[in-house]
Formats: sequence, structure tokens, C-alpha cells
Amino acid sequence: MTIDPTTLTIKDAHDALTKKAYTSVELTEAVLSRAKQENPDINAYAELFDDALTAAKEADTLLEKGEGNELTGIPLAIKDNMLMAGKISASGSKILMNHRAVYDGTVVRGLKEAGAVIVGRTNMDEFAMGSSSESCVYGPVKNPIDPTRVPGGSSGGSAASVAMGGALGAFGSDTGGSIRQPASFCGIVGMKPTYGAVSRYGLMAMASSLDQIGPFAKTVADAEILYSAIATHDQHDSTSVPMDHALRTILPRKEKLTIGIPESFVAMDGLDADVRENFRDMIAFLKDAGHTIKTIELPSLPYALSVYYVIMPAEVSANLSRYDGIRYGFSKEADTLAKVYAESRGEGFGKEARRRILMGTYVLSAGYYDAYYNKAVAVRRLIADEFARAFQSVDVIATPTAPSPAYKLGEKSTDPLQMYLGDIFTVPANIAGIPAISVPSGTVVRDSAELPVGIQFMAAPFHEDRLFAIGKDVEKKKSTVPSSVE
Amino acid sequence: MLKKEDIEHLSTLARITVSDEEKEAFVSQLDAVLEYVSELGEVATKGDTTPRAGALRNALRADENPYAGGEFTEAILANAPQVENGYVKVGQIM
Repeated sequence: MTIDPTTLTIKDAHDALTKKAYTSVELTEAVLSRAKQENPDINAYAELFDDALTAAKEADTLLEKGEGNELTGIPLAIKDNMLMAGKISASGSKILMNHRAVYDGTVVRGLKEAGAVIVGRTNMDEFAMGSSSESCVYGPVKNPIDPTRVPGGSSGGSAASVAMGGALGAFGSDTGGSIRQPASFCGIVGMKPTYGAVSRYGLMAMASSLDQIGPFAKTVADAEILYSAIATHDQHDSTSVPMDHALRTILPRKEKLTIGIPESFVAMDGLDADVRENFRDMIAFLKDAGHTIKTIELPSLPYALSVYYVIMPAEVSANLSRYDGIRYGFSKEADTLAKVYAESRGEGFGKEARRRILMGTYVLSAGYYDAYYNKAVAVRRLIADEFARAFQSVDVIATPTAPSPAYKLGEKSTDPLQMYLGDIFTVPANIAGIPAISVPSGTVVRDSAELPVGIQFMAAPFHEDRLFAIGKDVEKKKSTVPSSVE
Repeated sequence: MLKKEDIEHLSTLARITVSDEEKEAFVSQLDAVLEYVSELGEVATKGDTTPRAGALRNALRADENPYAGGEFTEAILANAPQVENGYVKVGQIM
């Protein structure tokens, strides 16, 4: 019985494990073997865990008794900014390379309790700042589809781990698109839950009003399994929404959905022509499948990127002030305390982290706070309200996930603004606090390479079910879901 | 237009040492981003700056049932650069 982790889904692996076609140990060994084979080229993983097989054995004990759930015994990868007790958690940064997590984050604890097998921690842009995973202290991550190109970021390692067959699923974090855009670049599914749907306890904070943990998987059904396992209220996270809160009202299931397209936004310059065409084709397919297409107006949407690049650095500058060389992490000895801070941070943080901290400090500083930060918060309000109004007449909103497919390593790393512009379609969901998913939508050609592109859907708060429904319809356009179980 | 002195001021506020060459680079890079985001000035807003993310509610727990002391002390101190007698050791503050 050969296990092929490059095509095996979580769903099929679960079936196989319950039918005892193979054990979690065998499955984990196959996944680890593939991960070890690919990682020298792809660099998806900062570290593969020796104790993964111990967890697999424990999962097998549960499975033998006929116990466990959909994730028991399933090998998964976790982004390096999610705390796992006793493991190095470095957030891709020199300043934390020697830092061992003191506790499990809530999502990690939940996965362990479900009997999932965490095989390693994945590489990422330092402190989740970036859209290419090139700024990682452990080296850049490569795109498994074309290793001369970036996998996207900041959760590029998690995306690559799944795309290369080195994990059956993975978790990352998304503050401005850091799950969805790498999913698009690597040809897999990536999803950001509603703000407050998943606990941030144990996720190293980047921008506290924007961050969410979310899943990567080969299929929408797999992503749904991963999401369901982590979407609960957590008393340790005061921004986590209680299960009985009015916001969590489930609306009745709808067979056919109304899909809103913000036409003027999708028609913008800067979106590659073939990516636009791919998007149009997919919308036409969904229309033929019986869904209704509606043009909507979100007049403030073009400002979402500016709102993001004011609010996010502001929150970053506050959240990263804890890395000061005192309680943990890289520490430079100096003759004054202020110098310990300045030199530990100056040397421990990479360029982009320092850039964003300075940017955030500026927009929050006296004389600029009103013009920048307060203005951004007010525009954020407008954007969120416009989305809420739009969802009164449409069920989901569709855009391409990214304006281009994966670009070459080094292509955008010297011009920060160029890299930021790539986030244009993904940041609105974080700004508005709404859930969003990227589903593979086919390929476009660059330098005779076929590169994946994703289509993005957004829904009203706590309507992830609508995203999974429309995502599964998108999958019907391609050939059937891969299965390798003999 | 940002100047080198602005970067120096910011790096003091943020407690981050920035090299001279980097200061130059940061001036132009930050300028470019600030120019881009200043488009927000065009947007008509009503001045409502109530931050909005997620569900606003009182999430404070009652001040009871404190954690037992000592559970995480060893693991926490293992990360500290300098430790003495169960304390994190730092340079003189005053």
C-alpha cells in the first residue's frame, strides 16, 4: 500500500485510517519522508519534529480502539509564529531564534487533543511581515510549483508544506492575506476565518485587530475539516466571540448563491490581464451552475490598502515593543538599558520589521496621529459598513485573490510598496473582519511555466459555510478531487 | 517629505538602532508608503473613530481563582538572557 502525500486528502486519509488500510505511524512516516526529500530545495520547514512519530503512535492507540475524530493521526504543519510548548517558536526572526514556547496556543492545544500529528514548524516572513516568505531568518521559501518563484507570504512555508506533499494540511496566520495569497500562488485552498472565530491565544501578535489563524489544504472539504476543529470560543482570547453571541447566527443553507462582484475594483489597472480573464471564466462557470451574479458598489474599497498600511504598522509597533532583549530572545549587552533595547532590536529585527515599526511609530506620533491613524480608523469603519450593506443583497463577494501569479524570487524584495500592492484584494477582509477563502481557479502562463491562480470569496461574519459551499462548486470546474487510497 | 532627522527621531521613540546607510534607504521607502497612504485624506469621513473589529463586549473575567504560582517559572526563566535568584536580571534603571 503506497501512500502518496502529494495527492492524498485529509478526508481520504481519515477513511483509510478508520478502515485500517494503514496506520498513523505509516502515514506520518510517508509524509516525513516526502518532507525530508523536498525540504532542502523548498525550505518549507524550519524544523521537522522528532516526536511526531510519538504523537502518531498515540493516535494509533486511539484509532485501534475505534476512537478519535477526523484529524486523529493526520500529519499537519504549523506556522512558526504559533506557540508550541517546549518547541522553538521564532516567528521567522533572529530576535527569537533561541526562544522556547512556554505554553501551547489554544489552536495547537486543540489539535493535539484531537490527536493530530504536528510534524514541524514552517517558515514565514519575519513576524508575518511580507507577501513572499523571502524575509525568513531560516532562508527564503520556494514555490513547489516552480522553485525559482516565491510561494507567497507570509505563511509561505505552510502553503509550500502542503503543496509539496510534506503535510496533509497546515495552519498559518492571515493579517492582510498571508494565508490566502500563498494558497493562490501554490495552487491550494487557504482560508481566513471571521475575526473572533478562532482563538489568537498563542499566536504571536502582529496586528491584533486584523490577525486570524486559518487552514491550508488541498481541497475545500479538507479546509472545512481543519476550520471546524479550531473554530470555538476561547476564554483566553478576549476578542474571541462566544458561541451564543448574536453575530454567530447561522442563516439557512442556500443551494444557489448570489455572488457580488465589485466591478470597478476588479476592472482596475495592475491586475494582470490573464488573471482577470481566469476570474471571468470562473464566474461564468458559476453562473452556468445556477448561481446569480450581481454587480455591487463598494466605493471605499480602493482605500482598504491604505487603511491597512496605516493601522497594521501602528499595531505592529505596539506589539513588537515586547521584544526588547530583557525577558527572552536576542539580547545585546550594553552600558545603558536604553542601549540594550535599541541594539537588541536593531540587530535582532530584520529590515521589514524595522521599517514597519518605524512606520507605525510615525503614524501614531504626536502631530500625525489624527491625520493618519484616526483617519484610517474612520475609513475602516466606512469599508466595514459598506460590506455589511452589500451582504444584505449578496451572499458572497468574489474577486481574484492576487493581481498576479507567483513572481520570481528577488523580483519585489527591493521595493516595499510594490510588494504591498499585491495585497490589494486580500486586505479588505481583514479590515472588515469578515471571512474569506482562496480556491484554486486554474493556471496562467509565465515564461512557459503554468502557474496557479486563486479566486477569492468573502462572506458576512460567521458565514464561513457559504465560502465552503461556493468553494466546492469552484472545484467542480477542475478534474475530480485527488485520491490516492488504493 | 521625510528627512533623516525624522528617521532618527522615530528610531529613538521605537528604541531601534538604525545604521546610517539604512536611514537613507528608510527615508525614501517610508516616504513612498506615506505618500501612498495619504490618499486617505480624500475620503469624506464623519469623524467616527470608534474602532471596530469583532464583537464589542466586556470580556473581563471576575478577579478570582488566580493561577497557582510557579507553574511556568522555570520555562519562562529558561528564555531570559540573565537570571538571578529566580528573577530576570536587568541593567540599572535609575
